[in-house]
Amino acid sequence: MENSARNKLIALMAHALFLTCAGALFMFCGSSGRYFEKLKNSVFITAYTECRSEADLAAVKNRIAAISGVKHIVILTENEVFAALEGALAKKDILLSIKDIEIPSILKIYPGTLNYERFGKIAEQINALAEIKSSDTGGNAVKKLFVFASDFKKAVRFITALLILSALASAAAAFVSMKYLSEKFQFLAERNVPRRDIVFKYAAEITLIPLSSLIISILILLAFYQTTGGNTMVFFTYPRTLLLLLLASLPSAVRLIKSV
Amino acid sequence: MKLLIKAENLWLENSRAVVFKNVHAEIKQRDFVWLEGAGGSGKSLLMRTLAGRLKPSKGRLLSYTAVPLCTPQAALLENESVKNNIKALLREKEDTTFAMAELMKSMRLFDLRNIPAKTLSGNQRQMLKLATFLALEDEILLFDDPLAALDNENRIRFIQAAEKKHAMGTAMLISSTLPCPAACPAGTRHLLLKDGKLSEE
Repeated sequence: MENSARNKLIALMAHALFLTCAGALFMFCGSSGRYFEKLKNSVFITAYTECRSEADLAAVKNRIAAISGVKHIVILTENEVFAALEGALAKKDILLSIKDIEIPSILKIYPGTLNYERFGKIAEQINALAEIKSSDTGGNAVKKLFVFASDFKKAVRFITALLILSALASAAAAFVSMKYLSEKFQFLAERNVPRRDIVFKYAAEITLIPLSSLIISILILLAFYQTTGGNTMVFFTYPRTLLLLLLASLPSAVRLIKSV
Repeated sequence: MKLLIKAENLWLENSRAVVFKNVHAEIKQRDFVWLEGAGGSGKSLLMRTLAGRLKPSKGRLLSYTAVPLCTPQAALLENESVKNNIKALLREKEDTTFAMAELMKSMRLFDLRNIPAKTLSGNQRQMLKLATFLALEDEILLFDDPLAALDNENRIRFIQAAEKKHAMGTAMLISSTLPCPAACPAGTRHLLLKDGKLSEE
């Protein structure tokens, strides 16, 4: 294979590797963020109150919202609880037997962070409120979920660091792979070839290598997404695709600006 | 004849001394100029000044065209073949095969055409460097000390190739520590840079 063809192939491979690493980093960050958000939304404190009027419930809600670490609160009135039970129970006639029992209103309190200590403190403060009859934190199962979330967060940080490192290393490789183009630019510039002619001469090379490597990396990531994606993984958004295109054209653009 | 470069009262000073002073020179189309000077006389700095790469301390330089300057430090496409080094400078639209083959033959590079530049000897590298400048289609070409790294046979080869280019209408300005060789074309102008002063013989 001729040197120039080999150089182009190496540059294409280095760019594709760089973009795949950068794309994987974007996907992983997006997906783990989404996963943590889902996890956060599945953990809440249930508080029971005998307040029934809308004004009373709103007052309780405001008092709970003032506790630090509380993200948001959802109120379920007695009727809503009853309707929910009606929808969930297989034997609806059970409801007839408990019709005389007063069902308390329920408040679902979602924490802002996945920190078990903080979660416990919020629960204690809620329990201390006079309007709250009792509260439920989910017990041991929720505690285990917090431990899992904490371990998972560490793993996410480690994988993110690895992906950043590999993206940086492959970016350096992509930059080095364009050295041959830099030599050509310098060679022509030294011989007084006008800048415009140099850019025109290598325009195809400057644009095609980043573009085709971007397509290759998107196809690789798409294949990965299709096989392991599920509901949690997120693929590229338009801004991220544009950012990748920008990153793809960076090595050749820097070479061009530096040399010409 | 079209005026390509006009130097009016050029001075160049560095931190230690005056490199050259009161330089007046005109280079016109179809000129073949030999600039002679001893080592350290300021030839290279004068060449760089005339090519517009160095700003003179005093005086005025008028360039009416682009001025490529071949210096000993000029780069090659090290990983590319001899042929590709020359081809990179030729216009792609035209059929340049014949011109390229002629140039390579005249510079004794034809047999080496498929060899990467990085594997050439010092002599061959210098011939290739010179060939890449002779391949340009500019109105004037400046060569700074092109003979230094060449053996006698290749020096004559280069002068002949430069003469051929000159016959096609390109003006030449060649600097050297050596006196003007007999191989130079008739009508060659001979300039001498000595003690910072430029004189025409």
